[in-house]
Amino acid sequence: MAITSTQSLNKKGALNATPFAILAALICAAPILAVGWIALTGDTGDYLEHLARTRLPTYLVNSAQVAVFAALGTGLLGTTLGWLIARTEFFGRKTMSWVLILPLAVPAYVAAYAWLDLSTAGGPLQAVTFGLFPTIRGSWGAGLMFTFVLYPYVYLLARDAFSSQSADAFDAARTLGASPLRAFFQTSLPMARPAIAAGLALVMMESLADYGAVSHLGAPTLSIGLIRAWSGAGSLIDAARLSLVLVVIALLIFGLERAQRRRARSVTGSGKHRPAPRTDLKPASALAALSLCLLPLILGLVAPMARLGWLALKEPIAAGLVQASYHSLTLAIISALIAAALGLSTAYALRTKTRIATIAARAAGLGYAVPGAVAAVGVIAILSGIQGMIDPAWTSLTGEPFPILLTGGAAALIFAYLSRFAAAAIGPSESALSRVTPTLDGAARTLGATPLQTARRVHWPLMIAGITSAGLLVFVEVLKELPATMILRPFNYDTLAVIAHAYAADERLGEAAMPSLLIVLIAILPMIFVARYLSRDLSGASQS
Amino acid sequence: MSEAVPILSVRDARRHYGADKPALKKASLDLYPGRITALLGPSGSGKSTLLRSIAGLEALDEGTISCGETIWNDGTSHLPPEQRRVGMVFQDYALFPHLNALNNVAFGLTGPDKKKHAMAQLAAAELGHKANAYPHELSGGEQQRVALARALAPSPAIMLLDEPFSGLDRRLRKDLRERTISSLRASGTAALIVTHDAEEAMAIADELALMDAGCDIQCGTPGDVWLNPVSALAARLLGDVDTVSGRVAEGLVETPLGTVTAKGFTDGETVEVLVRPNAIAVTPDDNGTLTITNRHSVGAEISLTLKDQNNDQWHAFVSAPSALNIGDNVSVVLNETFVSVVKG
Amino acid sequence: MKTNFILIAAALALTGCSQPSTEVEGTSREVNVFSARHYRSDASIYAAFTELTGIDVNLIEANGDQLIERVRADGDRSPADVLITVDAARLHRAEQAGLFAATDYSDLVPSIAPHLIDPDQYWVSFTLRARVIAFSADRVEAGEISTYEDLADPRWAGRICIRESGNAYNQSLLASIVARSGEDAAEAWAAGIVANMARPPQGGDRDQIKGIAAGICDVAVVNHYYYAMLANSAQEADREAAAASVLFFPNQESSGAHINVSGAGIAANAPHPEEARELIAFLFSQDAQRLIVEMNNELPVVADAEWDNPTLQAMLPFQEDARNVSELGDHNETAQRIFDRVGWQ
Repeated sequence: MAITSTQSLNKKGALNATPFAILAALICAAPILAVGWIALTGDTGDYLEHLARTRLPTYLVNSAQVAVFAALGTGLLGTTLGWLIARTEFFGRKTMSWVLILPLAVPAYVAAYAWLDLSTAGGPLQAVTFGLFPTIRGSWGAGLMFTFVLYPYVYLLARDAFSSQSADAFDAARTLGASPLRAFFQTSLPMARPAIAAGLALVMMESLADYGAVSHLGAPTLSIGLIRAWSGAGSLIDAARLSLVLVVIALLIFGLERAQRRRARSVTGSGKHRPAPRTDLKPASALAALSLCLLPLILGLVAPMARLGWLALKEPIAAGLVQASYHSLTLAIISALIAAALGLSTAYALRTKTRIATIAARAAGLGYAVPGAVAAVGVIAILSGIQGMIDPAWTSLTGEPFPILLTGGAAALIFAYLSRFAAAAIGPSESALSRVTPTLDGAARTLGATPLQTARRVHWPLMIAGITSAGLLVFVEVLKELPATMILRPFNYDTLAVIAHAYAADERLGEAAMPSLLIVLIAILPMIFVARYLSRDLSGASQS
Repeated sequence: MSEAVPILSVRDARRHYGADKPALKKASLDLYPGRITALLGPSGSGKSTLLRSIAGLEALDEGTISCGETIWNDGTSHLPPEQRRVGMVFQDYALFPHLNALNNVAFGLTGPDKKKHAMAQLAAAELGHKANAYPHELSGGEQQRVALARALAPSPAIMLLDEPFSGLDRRLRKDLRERTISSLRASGTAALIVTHDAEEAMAIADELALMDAGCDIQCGTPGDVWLNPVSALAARLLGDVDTVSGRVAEGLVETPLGTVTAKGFTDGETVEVLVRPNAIAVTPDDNGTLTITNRHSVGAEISLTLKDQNNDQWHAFVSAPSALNIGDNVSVVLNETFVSVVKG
Repeated sequence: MKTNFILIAAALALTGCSQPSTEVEGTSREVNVFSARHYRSDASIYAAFTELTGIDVNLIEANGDQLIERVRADGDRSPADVLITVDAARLHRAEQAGLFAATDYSDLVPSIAPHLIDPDQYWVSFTLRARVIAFSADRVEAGEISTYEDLADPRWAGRICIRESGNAYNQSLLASIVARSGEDAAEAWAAGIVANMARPPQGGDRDQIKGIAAGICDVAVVNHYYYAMLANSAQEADREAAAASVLFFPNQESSGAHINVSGAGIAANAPHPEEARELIAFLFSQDAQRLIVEMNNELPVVADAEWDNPTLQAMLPFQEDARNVSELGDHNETAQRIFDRVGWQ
């Protein structure tokens, strides 16, 4: 299904979204670039040197541990689940197929609040196990939390890869003497590798950029060090420099993922093939499979929600939750719509395969790897800079001060969100658009459709799943987002995430419980809808 | 012509998906070492299912498959594919896209020399220079040859090919067919090739097996099956044929084209007469009972469509050039070699 | 791509919404508060203020450093009228960043002890919290420990629970020791604490008290009001944890218990300076101080304020450190570097 030729795409008349896409991409990259500018041009203090002698190694080690634990956990869990759902049949499989996506609605910090509370000394789990149950904390604890809530990334991509693979390759391996296990490891898995790698890249970046969970669980990563450099040492410049380290790591991860994807351009195979049939599992295996599916749901969704619900019952409800819900929703919806449009246009631009489009798209994705606080800092820097230019000009023209404070409105926050989450929109859109081959374009055009009509009537139906998932990912991310929101939000404009964190950080977990629950409940509703949409049975045809 | 012992026997294979979707109703087949069998039938006849059952990729609901002394399938047991000595070439070749040609061919081999052996296989297919190429870098024909080499490399007892030439253009197809057949013969395996193309089947097969609606309907050499189809269906699978019903009277049956001998039938029995176009010799005759309604050239011959007194249509060939035109009356003589009489 | 433009336009329109007002309108007065505190008591205080004066309170609550950064970035366009932080070090940093306008606080709130007002009159403290020691009721005798300095003694090895070094209260505690005894002694002290930790720092102050109850450690350093919160909690497990430990105020014979403050100051470019003064003055009113004490268990700064909080009452009176709290900010950076050097997580 990959694009195998580019000839028809550059010609005049093709839908030319490139300039718009490039502009949008640059806007997304701007805050990160601003931070880079601050980092490179600011005064040099001795803080970084001091840090290098003291805490920097710890930060690096913890970041590496968290990212690796998360990658291992999500990789194993997501790949196994993806295979089970895509290629086997057991009781409850159809339901599990979409329910397994739901833990994406749980922010990592919410899972961390709940699990630390459950497993802390004097808490219920230790009481039941006479102190044997370990307290969930540190980098392994954080890695575990990320596994619980981020595995759906890998699961989704693996599932789709396994179900769209040529089943014949697996069968061929078996006729060549490979047992089902060997056939899986030597054919199906390598063929799904690009998809799985893309999922792992997302997981690693999210875990590196996280602030709430790692700070709560006591795993000082580079993100924490960055925030401490800023808020503790008061040095924005040093924080910006540490952000650069994160950006470099993100570039490395991105780069590796791209490189192996390029090498394996045709790893998924091309041409027509039979949809993969399902193996019916025997009752014992079916039970094991179902249990394996239920496990992450219980750990990542049910247990945290139950614990928080229990805590919330005993506490009075914090004020302002309805309004905060409204704010959270508004921000999330608007950001999702813009991000979907952004993802779509960038995907079109990437199709032209020009250098500048590729660079712009990669730059737009940088924001994913840095904490939201960094994006917020960049946004503040840019908007104040613009403000500083507009104000004098406006005043000299009209004699009045410029009426709008750029950093004061929700638009600044949405700017930060887009900068932060552009990658989540571009990736799925790009892969969805790649299903539209040039021959489809050609067919439509010879039938008289203009490029716009082609887009609407041919591309759109094929791509709608991908664009929807792009929009959804951004919706949920914005709903969960914490640090940038804390910094940039307007007056009297709290979101659920902000309220939850404020209480949790002050050890008032009972009062943090209700807003945390609300975040998950609000995120789950659209998540259910789209999870079902993404999991609908596309094969249609019965066995032949 | 089965003097040898079959290396593979399928008996009364039955497989269905869902209550009312039988894929195989009752299929039996024998394969002999060194012989190529073509399995011919329309889509949905169950030929691919039968092939995959032999490979072990699908289970049978009833019936047995045995390879020599070993039972591969019976009502209860099912030997997994990796333990059967089959090599299979899939319709889409199913090359492993993440491995180069050499590693593809070496996949089914074990031992320290496997790369060398694989290289030898590729060289025999004249693809040694492409050993490091990945499947997406190979042309369709090259991919097919690598797939064949890969299946042959472990020296299987039985080779199964599922429409191995279907994705290629005509000229390439012929060339590839010849290479494939010679590779198969050289290997000495028993080969079963599934195809829906009658011309191809007859060109390659030592033995032809016809299938329809999940059953095997006839088996024999191509020439034999063509000349003596057991039913109109079998006849149609192999080429054009016109049919007419009639009643046997004194060992003969009357047709609009003439009288035909009906051996082995009792008087009064209803039979169907199958007439190949080659059976009809046409001569112009103003008093003839048939009229030409259509004609078109097929190179060295001209194909005629004739209409008889009952307004039924018949097809015939005459050598080119011909003075016959549409609307001419003609009379015909039947060559009984190309006419079959089957139960009606 | 028309949809894109519509969406972007909508987003920009949002910029117009929620704009902080910088005009003083005739009918409704308002004051813009940037606060690092987030207690329900504050909401009640602001509500009471609005009811009393008719001035609307526009509020942003966020982490102290991030507030400082935002106000600083907004420069003279900043809509902030009042800046409230939850610890002294942030007050100091805000002052260093030039975010405060000097105001005669000794005039505005004359009854406040001088060590609670910035010497340069940039800000004033309106609540107190004491960072004190809790020890196990079963395993430690009263009187076995009486000073902060004692905590570094090797006999407490493996017996101390204390939270992470990133916490502002720990930083200020260390800063007070730097101010009192000098950097080297403070570093030795911090190193001694690290050696005595029962477990790597985790959780907040209440988790340290729970650690005592769970038998993980015998001594913990906590803010006094967390203890009170546990003692008065709706959850039985909390109350039991509080009951398992005893709270005491260290250094009563010497420097006095370490205190930290929540402080407020008028912003340098405040668009509503009059309203800001009124709000700050209100923080010292009887009503406000009572709410702070009764709802948060914090300590009041107004000596003759009336309030009803038995748990707190039982802790008083105590000797507090009388050094000007601005020194906590002066030495904050030093304290942080010490933490980094001794490896206090």
